[in-house]
Amino acid sequence: MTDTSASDRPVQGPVLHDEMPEFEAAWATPPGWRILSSVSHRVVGQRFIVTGLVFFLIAGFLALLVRTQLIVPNNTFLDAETYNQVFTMHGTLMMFLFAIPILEGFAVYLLPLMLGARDLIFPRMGAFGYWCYLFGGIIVLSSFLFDAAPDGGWFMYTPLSTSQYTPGLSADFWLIGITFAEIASVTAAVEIIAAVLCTRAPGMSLTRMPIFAWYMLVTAFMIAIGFPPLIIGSILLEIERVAGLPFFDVTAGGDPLLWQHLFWLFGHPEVYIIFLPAAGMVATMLPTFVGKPLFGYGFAVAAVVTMGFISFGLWAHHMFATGLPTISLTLFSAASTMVAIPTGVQIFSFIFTLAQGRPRLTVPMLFILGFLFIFVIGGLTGVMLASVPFNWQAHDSYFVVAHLHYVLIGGMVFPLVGAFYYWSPHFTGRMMSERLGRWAFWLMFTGFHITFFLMHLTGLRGMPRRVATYPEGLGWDRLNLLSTLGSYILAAGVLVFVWDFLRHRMSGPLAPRDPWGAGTLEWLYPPIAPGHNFHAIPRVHSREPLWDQPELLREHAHLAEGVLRGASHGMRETVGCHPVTGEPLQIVRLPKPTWVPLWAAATIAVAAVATLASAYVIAGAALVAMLVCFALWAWEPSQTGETVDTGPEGVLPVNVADRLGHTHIATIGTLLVLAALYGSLLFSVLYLWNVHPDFTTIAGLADPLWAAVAGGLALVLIASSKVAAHKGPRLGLDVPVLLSAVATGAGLFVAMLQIDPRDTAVAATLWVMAGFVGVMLFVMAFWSLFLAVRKLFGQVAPHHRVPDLNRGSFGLATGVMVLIAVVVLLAPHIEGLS
Amino acid sequence: MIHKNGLPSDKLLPVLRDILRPALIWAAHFVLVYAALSAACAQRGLIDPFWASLLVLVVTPPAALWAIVGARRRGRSDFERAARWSSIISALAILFNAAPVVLMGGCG
Amino acid sequence: MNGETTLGRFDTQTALVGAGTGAEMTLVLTVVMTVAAAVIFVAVMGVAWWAWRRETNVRPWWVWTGGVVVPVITLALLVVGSSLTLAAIGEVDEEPAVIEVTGHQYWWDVIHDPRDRSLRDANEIVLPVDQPVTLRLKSEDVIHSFWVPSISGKMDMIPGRTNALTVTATRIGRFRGQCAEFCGLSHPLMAFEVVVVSTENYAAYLDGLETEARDADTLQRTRGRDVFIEAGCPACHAIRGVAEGARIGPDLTRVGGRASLGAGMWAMNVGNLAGWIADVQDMKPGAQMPSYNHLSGPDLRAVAHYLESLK
Repeated sequence: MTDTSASDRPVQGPVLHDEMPEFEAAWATPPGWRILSSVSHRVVGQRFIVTGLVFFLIAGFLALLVRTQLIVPNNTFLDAETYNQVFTMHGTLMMFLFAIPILEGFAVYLLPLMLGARDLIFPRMGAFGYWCYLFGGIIVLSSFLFDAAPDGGWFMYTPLSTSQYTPGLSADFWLIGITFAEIASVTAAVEIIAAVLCTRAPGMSLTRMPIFAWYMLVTAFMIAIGFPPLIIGSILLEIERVAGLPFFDVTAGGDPLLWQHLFWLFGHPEVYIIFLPAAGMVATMLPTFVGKPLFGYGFAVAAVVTMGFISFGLWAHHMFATGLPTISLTLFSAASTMVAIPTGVQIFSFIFTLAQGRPRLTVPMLFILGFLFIFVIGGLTGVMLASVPFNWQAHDSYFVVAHLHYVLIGGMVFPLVGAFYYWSPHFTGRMMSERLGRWAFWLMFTGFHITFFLMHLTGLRGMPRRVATYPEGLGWDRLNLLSTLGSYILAAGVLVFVWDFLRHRMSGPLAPRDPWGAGTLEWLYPPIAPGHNFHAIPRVHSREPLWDQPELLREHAHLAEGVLRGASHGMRETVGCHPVTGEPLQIVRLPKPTWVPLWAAATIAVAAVATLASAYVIAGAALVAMLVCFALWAWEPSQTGETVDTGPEGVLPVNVADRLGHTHIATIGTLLVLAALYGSLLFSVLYLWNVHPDFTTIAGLADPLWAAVAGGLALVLIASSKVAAHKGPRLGLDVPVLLSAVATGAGLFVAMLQIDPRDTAVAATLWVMAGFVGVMLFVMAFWSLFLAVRKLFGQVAPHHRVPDLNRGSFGLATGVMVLIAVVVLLAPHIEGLS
Repeated sequence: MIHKNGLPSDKLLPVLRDILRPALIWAAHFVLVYAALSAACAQRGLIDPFWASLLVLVVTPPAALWAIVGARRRGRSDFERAARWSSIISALAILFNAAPVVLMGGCG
Repeated sequence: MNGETTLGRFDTQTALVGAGTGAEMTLVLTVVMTVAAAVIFVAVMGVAWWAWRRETNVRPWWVWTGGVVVPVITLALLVVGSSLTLAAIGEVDEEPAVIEVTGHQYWWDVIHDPRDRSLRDANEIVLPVDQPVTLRLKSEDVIHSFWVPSISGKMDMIPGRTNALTVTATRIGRFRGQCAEFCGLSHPLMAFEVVVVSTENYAAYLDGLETEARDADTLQRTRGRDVFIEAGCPACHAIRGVAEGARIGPDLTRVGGRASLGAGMWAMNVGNLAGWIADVQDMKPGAQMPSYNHLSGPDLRAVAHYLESLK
């Protein structure tokens, strides 16, 4: 076993900046304000992290307002309206604009460094996602300026959130802003999937991958599947608010519970989406301080994978009191308890990792221990809540408030603060303070328990959640007073941490190379952020390369042996690998700084704001501008067919046209998101049809002939796009794809004309389903047009097959979606189903 | 120290499938149980609760068995262990999915 | 039902003191689960403490035991235990009486025996002791949730649906309930009282709901009744024998007999009643009723006196 104490490590100065001028020039971060055009994962990741931290502080301040209002009974510190806005925004900011983005920020920053990649695989998409997140967050926050802050709770239950009970723009700010910000989460998810699968160092097979990458891979898949239900729900609700279509209106066969299903189909996996990356950080930091690898890497992989699945089977335990049949309650109760198994396996893996060595009690380690302590309590109360009768008492009471903060603060915030202490040297080249860190920990830990442990009791004594005030004497007064005082202590701890974070950038001690004695690759370079990764990408033989491959730390990092030394022709490139074995497959060319992602996000922001202002013409124009931006984005010379001499790994092709190539993997990831969106719509149709049988006969039926025609044309679409993918780029092959996409859409539209979406909720949902398929067909048409124009301009050589290959898969998925829509539209014509 | 995680690369993909398969069986089983209960117990009453329960009872044992039997019983590499664990956790979760039918009668 | 207020009395709105079969059985479950959770927590922390102190060769079966075997046994017990409790809560040995409760922003409409006698009251639910009652829960506007922690767990009131909650109160007394689903501006002010009485008193109470409101027997009360009618109150509120039919606001036939005002929020007395009528929007923001601050002082006092006399 390698010795791992920090002091014995070789200490190195900064990398000399004229070692490899061509390489460093290719990867240079643009100076001054032009840094906004940077797409580097280091820059984008830090932006995510800092922005997330700002939202955390705002949301934390709102939490203090909540606690201050509740400090005494009948308090008038905030009026009811302000209080409702404050608790709504507290939840919204914490869940959507802090927890997910900041964890994605850490992933964006750390993954390429851990995996041995020079950048995240789609740098422009990362930058685009960040701008979407920032603009969406600003839109949501700006509602305070217009005195229209959302006040319907972060869960936005219908019908309270419909225009009848929430007139004005407050709910629209929420729906549009949050959906916009969710684009960031979903794009980041696709990017993380492709990055983890396609850009690992040579030799880094799936089983040698750092455990954090496993956690992020599963998390990314969960985001891809889990966010779409809420995106669909938000779109339906916004359409109902703006256009009056009756998705959730009971008088037209809609159902308020449909919203709850869609919301919690997102909302429950969301909890694990927040927990898993944080647990991945714990699993990364813990071995460093024990000096031994994580015990039970296999356990952890199995636990994370099964957790990713099982966590999708518990959404209805947020709906135990809605009057579901008891047999369904029991299903969700039993399924809910089962998620404790993979959780327990992970917790015991962590605990027994401690037993493998002599752990060092550093600040990150303190936060890990705090995580264990708090999260185990939160997990146990979570299991209690899976019990239906207990849930009927505890649901929507302060018991649940206590539980969810144990899970989220214990499971996410404590590991996150630990992660800040652990990885800060990466951002600043300096160490944060051990002394202030301990102060922060003990204040947070004490304050947290005073605040939230008592809430278990407050809840069982009958205090419901989301109440702006409460009468005195019911047995809640002293508990609330103590909780509020505790929250101030917790806030003081957070402030100490923030102060330390700001302070250490200037005056913290300089960090040595691999300051903690970690084994993972991100510590290969001295932590004085050079703005680029890996002069040469080392071959990896183990999960902890810095422990097991001592030659890596023996000399200067930029001299370490590896492939792809330097930059050929001044291009940014990294090694693309086989998704499973990690063996080099191709060279991935990466983009240099560009403004296009910012423009693209800005056009969507304009469209969102214009929609809020009911300026639909401007919104439409902005969307056209968005298409132009995307076309500019994709308009770059195809480099397939070139080769690069990597040194040790021989000559590798650039951007291969292969199903295992990174763009095709990303296409599959995108299709996963789209399939989940479509699946959410199909679920909505089936749900309404099943729950309100009286209403399904009222609406008109689709024209069977035209529906069948659309189905036939969809087959043509599939065939033509597959032929184009197979035969390689030819202008003549783009035309049938384009025409069949347009014709399919037209056929479907005519078939739908007999259904009036204002009649019933099912009819309205069918229209949205058809509209979604229409958007898919539009993408196919636009894509084909774009490729045809490129060919006309002579941009495409016969071996430039990548775009056509990807369009082939996209076309297949689109065609299948059309066929499913046709089946759904034709089914009512069968006797007995309508 | 060199880890015992150097599984030959041609064995990685089969083991990965073994990690995912049980979880996918769980997913399919869960969807089936949810669909059966929803078809029986929602307003439309598409099928009789008896048939829904019977379907769940009939499908659960083979699903759990399939998740377990396909498991890798041997292999000491972490990846193979992961496959073994995934099948055990998934099989247990499949059995628990049948709890409503075993413990409750009808729609309740 | 004497007029003593129960507002702010400790232990009237707690799940930790059972006064109904549902709450009592759940309390047993709660205690058992809490003790088990505490034991597990201490055990896990003990193992962590040991793991911190000791450097040793870890065996995979440790994770297997702690992460799978022990949890599966515990969880199986939990699922079976809570399913049995769930079944037991729903079990009744006689035909339950029926009470329909409809949630409104921000008050409760109550109809006893909706099928036959259809007796209306509001914001106070009288239950017979030791007799099962099925509460048929509805909503007229947004989602509310019916929760009387001492008697039973909660059940949502969802527009377009009727949820049934069968409860058996086991102790005579007053218990506070509150809306448990966020329902808008005055969600925290949407409470009510459950009054559990003997079977005979319940029968008498139902009979009382069939009779007309008490006569206005003083000059001031007569004036109050006239103001009530002239000010347009009957457009929303019914008083049997005086103004019938309206269902937009709470039935006021026995409003003075309720212990509290404004859906379980303030003690019922003339002063609070007058304040309420003049200043509803201040006391309960977002309520459907406008503030009647244009009434003259004497008129306001007259209405308040009249309403207070309706018992």
